[in-house]
Amino acid sequence: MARALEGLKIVECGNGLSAPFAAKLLCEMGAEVIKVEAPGAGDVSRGFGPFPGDVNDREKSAMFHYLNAGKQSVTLDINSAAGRKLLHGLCAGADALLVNGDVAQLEASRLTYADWSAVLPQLVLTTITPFGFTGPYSRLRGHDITLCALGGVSNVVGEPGRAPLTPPLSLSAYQAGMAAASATLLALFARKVTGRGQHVDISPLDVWVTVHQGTGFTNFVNFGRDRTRAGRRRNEPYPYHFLEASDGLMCLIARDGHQWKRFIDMVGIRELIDNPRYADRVAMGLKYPAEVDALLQPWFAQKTRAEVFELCRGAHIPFAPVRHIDEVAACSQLAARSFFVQLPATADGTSMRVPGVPYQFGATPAAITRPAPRLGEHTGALLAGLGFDAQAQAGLARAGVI
Amino acid sequence: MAGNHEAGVRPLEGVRVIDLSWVLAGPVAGRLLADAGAEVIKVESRKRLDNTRRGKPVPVAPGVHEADSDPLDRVPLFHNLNAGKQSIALDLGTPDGLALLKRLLAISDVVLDNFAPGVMTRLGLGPEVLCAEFPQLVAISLSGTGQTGPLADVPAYAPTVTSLAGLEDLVGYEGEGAEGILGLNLADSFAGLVAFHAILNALWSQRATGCGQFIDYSEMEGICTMLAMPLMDFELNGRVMAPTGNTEGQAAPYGMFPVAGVDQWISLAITNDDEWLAFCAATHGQAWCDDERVATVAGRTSLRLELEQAIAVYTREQTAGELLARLQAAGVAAGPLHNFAGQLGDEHLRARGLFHEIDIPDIGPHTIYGSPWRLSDTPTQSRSGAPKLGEHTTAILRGLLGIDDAEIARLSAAGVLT
Repeated sequence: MARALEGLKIVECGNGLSAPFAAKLLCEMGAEVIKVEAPGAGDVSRGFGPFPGDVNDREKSAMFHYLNAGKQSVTLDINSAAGRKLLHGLCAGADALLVNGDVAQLEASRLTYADWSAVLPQLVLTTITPFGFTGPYSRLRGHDITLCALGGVSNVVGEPGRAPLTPPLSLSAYQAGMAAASATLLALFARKVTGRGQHVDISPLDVWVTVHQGTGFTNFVNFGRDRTRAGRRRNEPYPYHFLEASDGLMCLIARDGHQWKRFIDMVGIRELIDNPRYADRVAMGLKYPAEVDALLQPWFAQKTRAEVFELCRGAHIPFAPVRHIDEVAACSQLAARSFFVQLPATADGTSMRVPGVPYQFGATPAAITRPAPRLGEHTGALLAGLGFDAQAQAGLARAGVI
Repeated sequence: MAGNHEAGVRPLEGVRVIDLSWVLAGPVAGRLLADAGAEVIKVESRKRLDNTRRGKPVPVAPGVHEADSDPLDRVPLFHNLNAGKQSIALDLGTPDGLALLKRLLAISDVVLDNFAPGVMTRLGLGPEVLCAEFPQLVAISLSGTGQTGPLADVPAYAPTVTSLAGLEDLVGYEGEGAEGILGLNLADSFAGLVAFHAILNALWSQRATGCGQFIDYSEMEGICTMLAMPLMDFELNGRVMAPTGNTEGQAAPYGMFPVAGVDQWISLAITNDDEWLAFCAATHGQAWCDDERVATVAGRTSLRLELEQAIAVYTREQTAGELLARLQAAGVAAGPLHNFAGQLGDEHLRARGLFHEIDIPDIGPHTIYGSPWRLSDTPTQSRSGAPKLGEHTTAILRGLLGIDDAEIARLSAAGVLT
C-alpha cells in the first residue's frame, strides 16, 4: 500500500531526540529521509541505549534504532567548506531540511534560514532550538528542565513546598519534534501555493506554553486563579487524585457526578452515601480530601489495582491503575492493536521491538521499510548520486569530510 | 504583526473541516487547523453542549447589554479552544439534523470527533459508512485507548490515560513512589497536537489521490511513543523504571534549586565540563569552584547529593533575577520556574507571540494562547474568537448547502437547528 508522504524528500541534520523524532514521523509515513551525521561518532543517540544485554555498542542503541529506522545515513562534516557543498547537493533535490541545536551552533554550522533562502528558495528549513530564533532568550542555554520550568509544566508537578518536578525522558524534545513534523507539512502545503520554502522556527517552550496550557492559562488571565503543586492530587472536585490499593496506586477521577454516585453505591460506604458533608464534591476536593480518602482507604486496601479496575469498568467508572512500565509492555490493549512493531533486521541480525505509531491509517498505514542505518551506511551511494566517483570519495574521506 | 500578512497565503486555505469534537483534545486539533487557514465548522447543539461552554463566563464588554448576550458565548476557555471556528447548531438526534450533517460531510475534507468509541457508529457514521459514502473525506476519531481492542470501552480522562500508559508512575522524587502529573492534561493536549499532524498527513495523501481515509488515534499510544526508552529497556533488559526526581543521566548539578522568597525556584542544568566551568565562573569564590573531586562529570555524579545540597544553601540566599542573569551571562542553562503570572510577564514569551489578543463581540479585547510554531512566510494565528453557539447556522445552510429560507424556517420550527 502506498504511504501518505511518498515522494517527499527530507534531509535531517539532527542530533539526539527532537529533529530525529520529527524526521522519523515523516519517514514512517512515506517520506524519504537522509540523515546527516558527523564523521566519527555520529548521532549522540547512538550512545543512549538501552543496549541488548546492557552491552554498549554504538550500532545497537535501541533509542537510535527507534528514532532512525527507515532513514539513510550519510556522514558529512558540515563545518567544512567541502562538506557544506555536499549538504547543498543533497538538499537541492529535497523538500525540507530539519535541524536541531542551539542558535549559536546552527549559526556556526551555517544552518540558519539566511544561509539557505537565497541558495535554495524552494527548501523548507525547520529549526528546533531551545528558545526559538527570535525573542530575548534566543541565545540563552536551555535543557529539558529549563524549558519545563519556564513552560509551566514543573509548576504543577510535585509536592507543595518541595522541589517542583520535571517529568523524565525529555518530553520537551518529543513535543518539539511533533510540532516540527506538522509545521514542516504546513510549510509544504503553503509552498503548493507560493512556490517557495520558508523558515519554520520551533521551540519546545512555545509548544508547552500554548496547546498544553489552554485551560489553566485561561483561568489565570480572566479570573486570576493561578496554579501550584498539589502532590498526588489536583485541586478539583473530589475525586482527582491517587489512592493506594493493596498493590499500588489507583488514579481516581469522576468529572461527572453520576460516575461518583455509581462508585459510592458500588462500594456501599453508608457514611459517603448518607452524610450531607459528603454530597458537596467541591468542598470534599478542596477542603477535606484527606478525610474522604480515609473513608475509602479500607475498601481499596483490600483489593488489587486489577480488581478495582475490573469493578470500575463494569460500572462505567473511569478509575484506572497507575501502571508500572512492565505492565504497560504487557498491556492486552496495546497487543490487540499491534502497537509494538518489530523493526527490519540489520545486516548483523539486530532487530529491535519498538513502540509503533499512535494512529492507524485505514488507507495509507505507517510502515518502516529499512533497518536503522549503520553510521555512514549510505554515504557512498548518496555521493555517487551527486556525481562523486570512488576516487573522489576517497579524497573526501582522506580530508575527513565524509 | 498580523497586519502584514492579513491578506497573505494561509497554508490550509481551501480545506473544510467538520469539527464534531468537544472538551479538550479534539477542539485543540480543530483550532490548530483554523489557525492555519482551514474553514472549520463546529457542529454543536444546546441539547449536547460542549462542556467548556458551561464554564465560568466573563462579563459583557462596555456598551453591550447583558440581556443581549448569552453567557454560553462568553466563556474564556471555550474561546481559547475554539477560536477561529464557525458554529452550526444541529441536533444530530433528529433525522433532519443527521441528514444535514451528511450533506456537509459530502462537501468537506476532514471530519474530527473525540466521542467515546461506538458513538459515531450508533449515529450511523461509523468508519465503513464514512469511507463508502464520502470517499474524499479524512475522518479521524480520537479516544483514550483506541476504537478497537479489549480496553476500547474504558471511560477515559487525560490522567487515567497517562496512568494506563505508565507515565504517571515515572514521575516522582528519587527513592519515593509515584507523584504523577495530575496537574497536567498531557494525554488530551498532546492528542490535539498529534491529531493535527495525522490530519495533515492524510490531507497530503488526499491532495495526491483524491481519496480520504479513516484514522483511529489512541491517546494511550500517543503517550507510549514518548516512553520508548523505559519500554525498550524492559523489553531488552527486564528493567522496570522507577521515578528519578529531577536527575538526568550523568548530569549534575541538575534540578530545581530554591532562591530567596517563599516557594521560589530556579532550574539549573549542568551536563558537561564546559557548563560546569561556566557555572564556577558565575559563582566565583564558592567552595565547589576549587574542589577537585567535582571537577569531572564522574566526580559530580558520584557526589551529586552533597554537591546539590551545597549549591541549594547558596542559591537560597540569592535573588532569582540577579542569579539567573549572572548564570546565563556565563553560558549556564538556568531559568525561572514560571507559574501563569510569571509567563504573562515574561518578555520572551510575549515577544514570541504566545499570548494573542483578539477582539471578541460581547467581550471586547481578549487574550488566548498563540500558535505553537512560527512560519516566516505564512504565519498561523487566530484572527477571531470562538463563534457564538449557532452563529453561522443560517449562513452555512444557505451558502454552502443552498437551502432556501422556507426550508430553514421549517427546520428551525422542527427544533433541528438547536
